[in-house]
Amino acid sequence: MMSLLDRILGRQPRSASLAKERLQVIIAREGGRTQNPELLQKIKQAVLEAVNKHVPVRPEDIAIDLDSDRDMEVLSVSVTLPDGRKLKTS
Amino acid sequence: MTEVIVVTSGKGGVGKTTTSANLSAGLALRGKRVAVIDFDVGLRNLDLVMGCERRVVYDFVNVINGEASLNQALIRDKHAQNLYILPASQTRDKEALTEAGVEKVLRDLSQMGFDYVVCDSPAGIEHGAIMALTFADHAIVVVNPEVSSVRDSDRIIGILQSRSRRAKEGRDPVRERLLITRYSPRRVRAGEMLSYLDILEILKVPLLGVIPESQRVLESSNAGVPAVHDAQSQVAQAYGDAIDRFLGKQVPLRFVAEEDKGFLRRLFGNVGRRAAA
Repeated sequence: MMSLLDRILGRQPRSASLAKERLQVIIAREGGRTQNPELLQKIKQAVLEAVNKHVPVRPEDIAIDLDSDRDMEVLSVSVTLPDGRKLKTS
Repeated sequence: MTEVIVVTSGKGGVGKTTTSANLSAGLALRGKRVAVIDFDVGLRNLDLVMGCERRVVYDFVNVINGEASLNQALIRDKHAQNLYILPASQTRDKEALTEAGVEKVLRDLSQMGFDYVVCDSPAGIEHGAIMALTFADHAIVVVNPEVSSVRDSDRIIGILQSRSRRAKEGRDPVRERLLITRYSPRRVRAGEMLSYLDILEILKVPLLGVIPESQRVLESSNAGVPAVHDAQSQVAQAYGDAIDRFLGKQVPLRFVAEEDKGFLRRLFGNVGRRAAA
């Protein structure tokens, strides 16, 4: 709604605030980037410690990735075991 | 130590090449040794904006393919000392920029003693754009106060955080900063344009500077002389401030508020502006 003053002064409705609102929604949904880059490092460290209790693995044997697909985030962890077998979970 | 700066945006036409030209010229005017590389293979334009298009003999791809040495391909800028331009190739083969080739050129520039290498990225998120950001230490994300540009900036920041060497090797991340260009304080005040504070809130990346919308940008590319050389213009001063901030100085923001007008000029603003333009 344009106020009377806006009408008298010929001002347009405020499209900038609409732009801001739309951008905040779409950017949150697309999640183009990891909000917390340290999170992956922490998870990787925890996985390393957990696996090491049973099988000896090196940090470079663990690949970890966080993907977003619309409203779902997928954390994939891939661990290469010493004898070449692969333990994969998603 | 040579520091690699990528000037990127995702979206085209927001001012990457203008920014690369002004940033590299401004750094050189401050006594730094600077090389600026055009990564837009097939659509070479940095040479025109910097006014050296008639002196291009060899290009970036020639150097990567070993058809010319870096010394042969680098063009010495005529307006600033210690500034060299490596033009893009006009080949249509986009894969001509190999990762190993780009890495070697950057290493050789480092050995030549350059303080900064500025990588002018092509638009998009294809091969050339990825190559431009792969080896970056710093990223200057150029964004217009406009929805598609802001969204694309978010995308390119995500790509920086996953595809750069620094990210892949688990080193300190690329240092990202926003440069907002084509900013119109008048339109922001009228509620027609996102404010720089809105953009910072949405993208959550530190601000390097705000460059006002200005006719000077077109005039300087017409002439092939980056705007920073005309120290009187607002654009030159805004770029200068951004460069000083990049170098670690504390500089207050300028040109983000509308100049104060009298009551009558505000009422009849459009008439006044047209007369002034």
